Amino acid sequence: MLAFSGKVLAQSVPDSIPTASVSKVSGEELYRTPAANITNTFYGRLPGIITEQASGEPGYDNASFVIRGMGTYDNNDIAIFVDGFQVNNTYFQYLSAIEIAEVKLYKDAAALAAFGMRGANGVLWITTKRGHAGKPTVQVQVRNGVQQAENINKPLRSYDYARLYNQAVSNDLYAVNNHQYIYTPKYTTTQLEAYKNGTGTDIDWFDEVLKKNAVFRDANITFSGGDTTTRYALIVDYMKNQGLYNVATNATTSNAQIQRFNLRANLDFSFFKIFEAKVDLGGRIEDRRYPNFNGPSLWNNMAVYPSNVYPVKDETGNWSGTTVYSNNPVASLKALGWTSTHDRTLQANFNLKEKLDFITPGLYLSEAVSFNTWTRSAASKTATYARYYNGVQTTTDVTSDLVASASSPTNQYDWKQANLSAGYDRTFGSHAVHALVNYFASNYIEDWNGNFNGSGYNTGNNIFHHYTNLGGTIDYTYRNKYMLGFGFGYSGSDNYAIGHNHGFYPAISAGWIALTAPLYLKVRASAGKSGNENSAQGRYLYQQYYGTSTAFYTGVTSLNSNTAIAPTYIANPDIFAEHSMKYNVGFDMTLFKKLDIIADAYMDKRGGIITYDQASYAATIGTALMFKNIGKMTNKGFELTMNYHDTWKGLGYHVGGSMLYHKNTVDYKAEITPVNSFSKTTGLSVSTPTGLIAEGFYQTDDFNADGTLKSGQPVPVFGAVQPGDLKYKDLDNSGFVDQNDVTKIGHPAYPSLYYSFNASLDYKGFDVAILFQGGAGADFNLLNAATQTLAFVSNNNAFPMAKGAWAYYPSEGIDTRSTATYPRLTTQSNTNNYRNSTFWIKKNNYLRIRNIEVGYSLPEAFLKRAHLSRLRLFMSATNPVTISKLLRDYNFDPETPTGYPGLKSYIGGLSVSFN
Amino acid sequence: MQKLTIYIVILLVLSACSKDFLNTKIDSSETDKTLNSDYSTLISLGNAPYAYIRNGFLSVDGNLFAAATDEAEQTSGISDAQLFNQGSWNATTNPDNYYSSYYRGIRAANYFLEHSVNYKDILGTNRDTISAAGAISYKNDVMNVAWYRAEAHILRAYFYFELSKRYGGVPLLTRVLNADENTIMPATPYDSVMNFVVDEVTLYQDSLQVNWKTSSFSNYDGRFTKGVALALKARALLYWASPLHNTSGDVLRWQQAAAAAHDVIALGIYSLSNDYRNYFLQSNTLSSGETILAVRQTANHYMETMNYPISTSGGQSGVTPSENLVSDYEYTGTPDPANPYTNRDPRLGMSVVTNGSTWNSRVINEAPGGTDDMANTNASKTGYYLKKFLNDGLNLVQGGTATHHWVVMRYGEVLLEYAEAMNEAYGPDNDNGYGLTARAAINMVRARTGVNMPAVTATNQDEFRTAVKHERRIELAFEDYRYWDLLRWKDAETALNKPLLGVKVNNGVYTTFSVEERVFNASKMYYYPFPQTEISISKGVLVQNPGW
Repeated sequence: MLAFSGKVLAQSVPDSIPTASVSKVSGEELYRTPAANITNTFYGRLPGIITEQASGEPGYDNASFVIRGMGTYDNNDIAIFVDGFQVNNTYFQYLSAIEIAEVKLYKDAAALAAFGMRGANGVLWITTKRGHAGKPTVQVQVRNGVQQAENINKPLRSYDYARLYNQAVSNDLYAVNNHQYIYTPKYTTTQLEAYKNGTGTDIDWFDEVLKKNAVFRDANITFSGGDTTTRYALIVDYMKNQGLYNVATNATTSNAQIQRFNLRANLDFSFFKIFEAKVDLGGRIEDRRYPNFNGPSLWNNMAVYPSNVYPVKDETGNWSGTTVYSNNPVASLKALGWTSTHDRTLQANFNLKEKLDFITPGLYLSEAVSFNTWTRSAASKTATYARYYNGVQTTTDVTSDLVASASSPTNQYDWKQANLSAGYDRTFGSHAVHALVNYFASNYIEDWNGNFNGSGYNTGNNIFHHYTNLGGTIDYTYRNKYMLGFGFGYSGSDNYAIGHNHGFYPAISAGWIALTAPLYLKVRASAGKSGNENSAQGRYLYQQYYGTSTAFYTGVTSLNSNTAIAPTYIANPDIFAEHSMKYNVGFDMTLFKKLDIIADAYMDKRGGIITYDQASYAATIGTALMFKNIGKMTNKGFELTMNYHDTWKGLGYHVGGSMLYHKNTVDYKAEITPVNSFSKTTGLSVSTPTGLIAEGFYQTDDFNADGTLKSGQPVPVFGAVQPGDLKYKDLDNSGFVDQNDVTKIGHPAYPSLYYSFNASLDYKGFDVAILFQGGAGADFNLLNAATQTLAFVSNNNAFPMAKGAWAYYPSEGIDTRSTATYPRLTTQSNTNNYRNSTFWIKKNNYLRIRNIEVGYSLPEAFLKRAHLSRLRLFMSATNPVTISKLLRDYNFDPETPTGYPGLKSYIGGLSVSFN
Repeated sequence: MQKLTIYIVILLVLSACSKDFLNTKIDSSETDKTLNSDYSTLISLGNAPYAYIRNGFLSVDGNLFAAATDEAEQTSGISDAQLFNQGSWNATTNPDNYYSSYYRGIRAANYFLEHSVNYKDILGTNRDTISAAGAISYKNDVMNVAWYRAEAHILRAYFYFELSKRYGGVPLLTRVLNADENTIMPATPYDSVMNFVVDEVTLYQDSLQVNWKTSSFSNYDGRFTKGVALALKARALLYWASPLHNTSGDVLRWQQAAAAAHDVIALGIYSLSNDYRNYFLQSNTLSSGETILAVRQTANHYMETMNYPISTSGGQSGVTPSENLVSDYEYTGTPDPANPYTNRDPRLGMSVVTNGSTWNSRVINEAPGGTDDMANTNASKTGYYLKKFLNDGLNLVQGGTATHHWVVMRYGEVLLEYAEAMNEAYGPDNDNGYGLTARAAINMVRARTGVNMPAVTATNQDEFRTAVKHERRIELAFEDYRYWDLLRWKDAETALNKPLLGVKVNNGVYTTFSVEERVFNASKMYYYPFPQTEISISKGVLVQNPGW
């Protein structure tokens, strides 16, 4: 707990800060969740981090992280460090779990102040495997299995689509038919019969495009060993992850897929008694392939294209297509060619530490430098195809052969970092002191093909980002009982004007070990400041930029364009990073060496959030406004983690769980005061949905004979309404339902309670482990999955929820007026029904089994004969079961309701160690 | 090995220590330092205010403002125009909210004026002004910037006119405000704003180019001219003299309006086009002598896509003329109930697609079962389709395009302004020495080649006033005058509260019916409300217009 481990760390945080709130997870544990992207292995394994699954698309399946909830309404990205040097998401996401020894999450000011302007959103501190002095070990692991979609929400088949479509077109003629519902179907009874008995066109596009199982495999070899002077760890890792597209990967077509090849060499040298050197080389190649038709558009088309629109190929054997539905999903996959991208990245660190005990015991110096580089290039083969319908060509596209394009670089970065540290670890009797001061410099250059961000004009190649930080921590312990810590960071960033670009971030913390063996209780508290220089609003906001545009045309016979120059937003020379005051109080307790409890309560007050100041200027200023450091936000919550492990007659078992509850409030965001105070969004949590309050459906007796609403009914301003449309509340009693009646309608889309629990058993070589993870408190807005919610609108498809639509055609025996769960169907846009309101907000609580693993390790006797030190066979299932109301009621996956779905997998593998 | 590491580290760290390490600003956009003070910068700054002249093709719902008046109905049920028609628009939801856009235009003009104060010196530095060619080039540049400066004054005045047309009194500022200054100011009274507009024109009218087409800079045609400035003054004075703002009925105001309109006529460079139908199409607008100011657009098929009948491939019906408007077109012969559109003012057939006429290569048949059956989804609700501004037979499926230029000011409208002002000031037949009576002016417009309508028969001032109002409705249909005319005449409370009418046809029998009720609340809607955001930000300094 108190002894300095002797590891050399390049940044300013020593291996253990006794007064800080830190979560840990080992690389071995992360390996147990087989996932292509390492961000998808964190669910439920690292307390304090909230992970949200994004998509399962190979190569583009990065999950998003925040720690302890939403701290700011600007950029919540965590800072990631590998072996003491900062990396970005591109480097991090395809690291292999095998390369990682341990991941630590720093959450409170005691540790984060030393990171200065890059610490406010938390720090993920990763250390990779190192060698050891002793017998060399070789470990080989192989895993192979299949992945499937967690859930795909499929649209209605032709019969249901057609009969509901008949309702929709009839509904649309209500006004023309003198405000009456008269059944005027588009599909005749014969056509409906044909769909019912299978003779009509009835294509399941998801079935045609996708296959059920996709291959996942990975393999790695680790060599580790050394002696007192040299220690090494060499790791080679391979992973292949294929997509769900039902198309062969060959010269003309391609499934989505990623293959990566990782190579790591971590070397430690000790020589001349005082020097310790480290060389870390971690590099990899990532090869991605994907069909040329854009992924999100393909998933959109599969959902949108109706089952009855055309067969995959028409009777002449050509790909089908019409002007309205021109991108045949199967042809999009098979007839347009494919693109491949190649990424090469390397992080090379060199570190030298001198133990200066001869000057004074406990003093050491260290210097380190890191070169991190990444480049991506792409090559593609493109083709086109002609669209036919009933034997006739429908669009101007023609079928062409595959044409290859040359490989070209699309993006790259170059990152050089340096660290100079001085440290002092010494124990004088009952006093122990650990101090570490570190100077960090970062030089990042990037080529960017596109706009850097929305408002900071910085496009093109050679974009620099320079940063320096002088940070340190000093920990003092008295009698192994009382602890005091002080941390600081003094950072400078190139985002701000010279003279305004440095910030000082101090923190103070204290701890007290109240009880010792057999019980153990440590109480700790910390308070301090850190900063966030990474803003989504842009960089260089202190600089006045001018934009050019075409102002107007002149001329008579030919038009000449005249360019205008105008200042863009007003520069703010004093712009600076947002700051975070973090307060944390917690305790660590161990009872009877079996039960561990860690609890923390925290508060994060953010100030100076860069905000577009629209509340201080009238329109008379006549230009885009200023970004200022005026935003404020508060985030508070608590975490609780408990673990119990014991053995009983040879059966080892472990039960554990952790939960995180958080709530944030936006205190100030330069919001212009709305007409009604209930419409204010300041004081609510960030991303709280706002809209109207729905009060059911209009019925026929709400209307007069001429189609107008009866007097006394508030008039909605969003368009003409008819029976079956949604009725909203007129909150301010103005007689109109309009923008002034908007208020909070639900909770944000991220869960406020994030919890997990796990259990494992091992007995005589067999082991079983299960991990559950869930989220509660989030709401999902069905309109965010527009293709699955807006039935028939603008040539869209219809999904099972449309079956509950309001309809009244007594002549056809259709009457859902009292049981309707969906407004009346329409084929045209309808801004009255499909707008944010309480009607479309649904609870999104979920619980998933994230991982089940069953394994068997062969007994010692057998291993000795084969000269193995370990042989374990295992099978695991990832995401096999999901419990969610959203899934049950609407068939939406709680985390990936649209687009390429998240994946579940069934994997088997084995792990062998030799020595 | 370790020495090398140490050296590299120290080098990196030393480079980081230099002050310039944190000073990175390599970018590809203009900044204060890269923006040279030279001719092209001044010209670019001078061009900036022009971007804020509104294009009437994109007024509301990306279409004409006519759908918010009794001239037309927007076919789409969810249009912003419905907010006007239902009377449900307010300070928070106003589809015609261009308040901040106009102030951007005003700022652009002020910015240019302040930046170019020393333009002669700016243009003269680092430049050859001595040699023959150099001197001519310098002189031309100075002249051009001088024109731009005068144009900026008129542009600014034009924006204030547009603001006051909608909001009445508005905050008036004539310089650029910086971020650290107080931007919240109260509204200047309407009369002061009008005085400002008129004064600006008087001061700068002679510093403007008179006629770009006949000058050696014909490719600048489209920039402001003396005629534009005088036409602006005439329009401003006409509004100021109208009953909405002229509550005491002061005749002097009408006399000033008449004098200003006369100034435009006296320039002698404008003449009426001889083809009312084609004047609005393609480059005819630009080459005609009737155009005083037009906003140019590059070729597109936007208006046709929005307004062709739904039965034409690619059409969306869009803004459809009302029976209220169509029934106002005069008869030139005996009315025939079976053919209501024959023997009518020719401008009807040139502006409106009626049942039985030929359009988009077919005869429009709106009877039940016809090609344009009104029972079709998204067919016209009024029985008419828009024709003015639209090229016939544009192939939307193949992406055919044509140019459309929005006319902001034209000579025909100035003549009608003259007729109205002269009638109010002196009566229909008194020319006050100007050489043109009100009656003669209105008859010039009616007698246009291809229109040839007979002279007005009004005998006294009241009858003539009705005739002028009628002529404006007909001649200027869909050109974004109707709403503002109804407001300034205080006729909106009658005209805009009447139901909007359409016409149905069945077996050759035409029946009029009410399409929808219209609402105009006279207690508040004569002025727009200031945007709610402005009222909130000003915390009481800017007072909302009465009734809102």
